[in-house]
Amino acid sequence: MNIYLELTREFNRGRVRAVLCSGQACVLHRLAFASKDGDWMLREDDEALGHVLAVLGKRGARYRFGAPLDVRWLAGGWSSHLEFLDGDVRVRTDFFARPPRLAADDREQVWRLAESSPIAFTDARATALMKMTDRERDWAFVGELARLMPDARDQLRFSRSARDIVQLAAEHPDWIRELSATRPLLARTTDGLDTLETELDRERRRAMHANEARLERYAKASRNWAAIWSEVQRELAGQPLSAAHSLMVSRASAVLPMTVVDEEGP
Amino acid sequence: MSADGPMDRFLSEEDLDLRNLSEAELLAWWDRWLRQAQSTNDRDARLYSHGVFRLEPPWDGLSIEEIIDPRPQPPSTSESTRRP
Repeated sequence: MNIYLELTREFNRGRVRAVLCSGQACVLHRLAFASKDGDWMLREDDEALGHVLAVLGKRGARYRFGAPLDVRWLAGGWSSHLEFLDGDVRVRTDFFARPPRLAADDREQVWRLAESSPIAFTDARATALMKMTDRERDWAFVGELARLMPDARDQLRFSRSARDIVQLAAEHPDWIRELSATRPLLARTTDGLDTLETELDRERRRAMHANEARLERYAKASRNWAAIWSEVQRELAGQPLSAAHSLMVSRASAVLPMTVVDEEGP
Repeated sequence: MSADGPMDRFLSEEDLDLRNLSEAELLAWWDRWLRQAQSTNDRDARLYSHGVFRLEPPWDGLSIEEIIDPRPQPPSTSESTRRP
């Protein structure tokens, strides 16, 4: 079995604790192979994180630079990163509890769907939200994911194609006024494809810059942690993961803030 | 949604061809792709694909822009990670 599916199954033994996201979710949506690393959204509780650490400990995983896999940091939007070798394959496992752009009700929806799925992975809508990053290549996935969304309103909320939007607007004219309140470019559907494409580009650029600003806040907040990382890494070397984790928590507590102020609001 | 006219394309036909694979074929290609992609491990050893980090320390002398938008190491050989 594929390593990411295998890990998802192990993480969720007895209870759904982890939902496979982003690039590997795109494979499960049958879009493309795009990432060799796996990332999961985790339940924000100690049992879930302890179980995931235990699974990774059995695989000989080690911490990469990042936040400790601890509720207090994950609740602050931080991510944790571990790595191990599976034969000759480098397996990177990235974790967060509060992925960017997913509000509390979006996350609730992810968990609801995961509870009823044989494999817990994010649906097209949540995956698209996660893919709205500062990387150009991620936006290609948003465009394809929008076409997979079963709800035409969501297609209108997420589509990256001016042609698709014009067609959807013609099929559902009543929704345009309502949805343009949260996606202003929908008010331009009768202004021609060129105008709509310009607005799509502008919308993407704005979102990319917002993501850059978010990464910048976390980079600034982790400067002190980065400065002592080589020293911490030496201390972690050779430790079983449970002991390494305790050490991570203890060392990070002094220099890595658990919350990062979001100047632009949630 | 029906599409009578030309369609905007975001991913290649080769990428989207995953839709035509059986479950077993998808898993086999996925593993094969993953193994092939190991050829770039040296280039992205310090990089991150997800989360709030983009580059492993040391960050000494780097600007915030270089930390959040690092470049991968140049390839030492011309290896492909596309599906064969």
